[in-house]
Amino acid sequence: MRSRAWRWAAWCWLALVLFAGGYVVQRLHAGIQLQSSVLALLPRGARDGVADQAQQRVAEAGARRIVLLLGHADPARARAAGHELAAALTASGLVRGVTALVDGAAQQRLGALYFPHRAGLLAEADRAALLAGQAPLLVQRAEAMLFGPAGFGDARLLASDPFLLLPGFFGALPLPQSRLAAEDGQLVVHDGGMTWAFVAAELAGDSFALPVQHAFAAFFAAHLPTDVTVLRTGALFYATAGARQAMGESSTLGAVSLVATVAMILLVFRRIRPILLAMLDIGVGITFASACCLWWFRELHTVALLFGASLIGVAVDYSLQYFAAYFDPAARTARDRLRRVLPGVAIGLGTTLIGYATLLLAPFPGLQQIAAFSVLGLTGSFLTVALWYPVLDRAGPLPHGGRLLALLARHWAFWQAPRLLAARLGVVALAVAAAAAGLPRLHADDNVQHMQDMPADLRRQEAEIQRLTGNGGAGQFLLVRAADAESALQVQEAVLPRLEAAQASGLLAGFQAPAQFVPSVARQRDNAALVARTLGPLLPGHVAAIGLDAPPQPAPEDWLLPAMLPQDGPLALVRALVLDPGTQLVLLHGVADLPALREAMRDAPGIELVSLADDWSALFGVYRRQALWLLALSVLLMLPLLAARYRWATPRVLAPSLLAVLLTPPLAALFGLAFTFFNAMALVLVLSIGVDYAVFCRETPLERRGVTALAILLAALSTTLSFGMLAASEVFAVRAFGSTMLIGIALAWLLAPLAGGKPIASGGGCA
Amino acid sequence: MLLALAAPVLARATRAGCQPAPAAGPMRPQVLRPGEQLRGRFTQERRLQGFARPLRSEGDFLLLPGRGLIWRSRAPFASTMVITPGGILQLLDGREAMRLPIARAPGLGQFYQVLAGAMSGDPANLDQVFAVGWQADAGHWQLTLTPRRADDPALASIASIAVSGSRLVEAVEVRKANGDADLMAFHDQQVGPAVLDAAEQALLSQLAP
Repeated sequence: MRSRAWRWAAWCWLALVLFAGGYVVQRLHAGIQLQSSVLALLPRGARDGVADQAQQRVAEAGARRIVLLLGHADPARARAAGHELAAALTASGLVRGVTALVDGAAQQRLGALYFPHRAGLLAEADRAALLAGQAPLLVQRAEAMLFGPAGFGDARLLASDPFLLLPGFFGALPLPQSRLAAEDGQLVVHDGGMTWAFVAAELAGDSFALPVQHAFAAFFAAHLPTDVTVLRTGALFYATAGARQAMGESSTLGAVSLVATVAMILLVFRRIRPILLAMLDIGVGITFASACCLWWFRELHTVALLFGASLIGVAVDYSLQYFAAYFDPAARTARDRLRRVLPGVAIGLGTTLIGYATLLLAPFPGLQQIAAFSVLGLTGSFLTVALWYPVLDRAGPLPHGGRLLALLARHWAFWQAPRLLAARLGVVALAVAAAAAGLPRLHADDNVQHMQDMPADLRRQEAEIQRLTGNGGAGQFLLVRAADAESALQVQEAVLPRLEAAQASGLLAGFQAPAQFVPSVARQRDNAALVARTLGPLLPGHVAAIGLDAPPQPAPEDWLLPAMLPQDGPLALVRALVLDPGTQLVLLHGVADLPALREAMRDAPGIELVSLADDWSALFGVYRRQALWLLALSVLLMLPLLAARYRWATPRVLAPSLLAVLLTPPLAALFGLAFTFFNAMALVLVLSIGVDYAVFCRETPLERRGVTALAILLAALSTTLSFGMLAASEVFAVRAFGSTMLIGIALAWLLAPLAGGKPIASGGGCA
Repeated sequence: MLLALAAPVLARATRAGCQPAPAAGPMRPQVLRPGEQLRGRFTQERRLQGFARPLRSEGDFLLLPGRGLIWRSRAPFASTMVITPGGILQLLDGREAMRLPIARAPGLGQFYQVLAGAMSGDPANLDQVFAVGWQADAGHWQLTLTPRRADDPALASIASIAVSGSRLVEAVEVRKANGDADLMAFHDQQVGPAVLDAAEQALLSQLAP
């Protein structure tokens, strides 16, 4: 080794690590942005721009909304609780708007908005009645309303709207919360013996920002009364639960992983030095990776943090290779040890980096962070082992490992001793048979609702709120695209009868289309003409029947345009549905039968049915298959590196990890685990780590077999302790990843000696 | 106008007494309890400014505390109006002609709330919304309601409501700020346990909240 160059590189690395450490400390001091948004983990850029934007608008609007129901057996108590919470929310400054009270003034503004444009406004049912020649029925209805107990109308109203068509239009407006009743100004719903007060709010901040979550947690702790039953839903609550879980788990799993790894090293080496060196190694790796990721991504995702904490398990592998060499009596100094393990570790790092780098190709921002974190952390760990260990480690060989090495050499011997051929074949046959048994149970699962793994309690509350208020989640909508606002409204008017028929046959519970609030100008003209044609001739008789003195004046032909709708109040929703004049959304509520609804909407020109969950599920399917291609790609990418060193023995070096990759999914299926995108991603890692083990074996001469057997056992154990622990996670994606790692790493370790050892002379393996 | 309907019940509720008045002392209205019904006949006369003649109608009604009101006009033509906590429904020839959810009509919401409050025998809400005047002698009583807040949009058009009766409410007169007046008279009234026929059950269930 060229000592001076080595030393110089070690100093450079120290300077870089100190700089990285300083940067992390500075960022920690300034307050690191932790991102916990599920959306940040979802793939982006796979759909065309408009549909993507529409999806995002709906998701964002939904993400800012929270709904609470406060229930009490005493209606007065429920109403008071609703009043108090709404007032406290308004006063807190945490929200932009609160919906809890029926604001009479808002209703009056609604009337004032529509009144000048009444000439062209007709409820869909009234329009149908007029088209069907039932004009006399509408006249009779107006008279019944005038004579009836609800006291509709005076001379002024009748003079401007003699057939009371505008109240009919109001009644048919699909405004939200139509299942709720107003009592004492508070929106409530009665159910069984309970009265529920409704409070909805629009967040001022981002549901996924931790400071916002903390502020709301404090607010609800202070302001939610204890004597009422509270139901809540909204992205805020899911995000809070998710972040809390991820943080709690990452610290728990990380700590358990660390403690177990330390205990394992202490037990085997009976020295404190390996612990100190390993901690230095891991610390440097994580510091370096954190610094680079914080600098590059500006923020850290909590899932990246969770996986990052598990990096400990792989980073320690290189140290373990080095430590195992303590038991090699021939390696007297640190440099001897390093010289023995460096080729294997370097090739291992190379193949592992290839494995992680393919993760970088996956279009998931969260996975890219994980991949970047891992690539950087492992590189940092490798440099620490290679550059610093020779300087820091002055210890000689350890004497106590003889029996342990002899024991572990049997793992190797099992795969090489000629007399154990039958046993070997038996084990392989058993594994293959078990995998074959699992094969029929192997099934893919791409359902994004399974992946998100929302807390059951929150889901129950959401379902209960949907049942009580009748408002479903807006995960499904029609995307309407046309040249301009007028054409977009006409496109909707063409499809509204289909939607009404679908609603009548129970395919969906309801829908809200901008065209229901603002008919197209063409429709308004048509309505006015229809009224003049069918009701006009009946007007004199009607006026005479009710005895109106002055004949009604015809309503002015003043058409309503979408741009006239206010940004706030009950019609804010409609403005939100108009993305740009020609691009509008129709919200679908409570879709019961999506395929049938799709069929009903088929061939509707300018209309696309978008279902967020289904589209995301389809994407997860695409990415699951893509991940398998990535897996094949990383095998291909490793080939040149492996072939350059092992030539014709390359298939033997690849065999253990390939077998592990092939056998793991059906074996996992035996335990009822589905195959998801995350399992596919884990297989990418199983491949690269499995190749590591095989390479370590292949680089080992006959006399050092025990040392390497110990090293890969410790490595497999530490990886299992970190990644395998993720199988215990509450987060579905993490659990899927962890269980695949657990099985795959175990197989990769078991089969690693198949790669054979270092050739003794010019040809042949150790076998 | 809606509030006028509440008045017969309010009137009974403001004076908690469920028996016919004793011979001595002022007359008190009877309180209707949950599970009971009030059936009777009505005549209504709306005197509207700008109309040549009053709009007269008559028919029968069924009031169920906490559940709703069915108002059946027989003349000048047949129509049925149902008002419940869920909303308002109008039928012509047995067919639905109009439906209005209660959230769409806050005045209606307030009406129903006052109605329900009165049914439970709690006049507190009434006191918040109206200034209540009360006069009674041995055989007759009268209640005068004046809105406290002129800016309440649901009540803005009402100048005053007068309710009068002996054992039960017999007349309601609603005066509007613009000079309109609605006069209702009730007769042939019967209080008893709620017994609904199938058609009435169906009408109420159509508006279940």
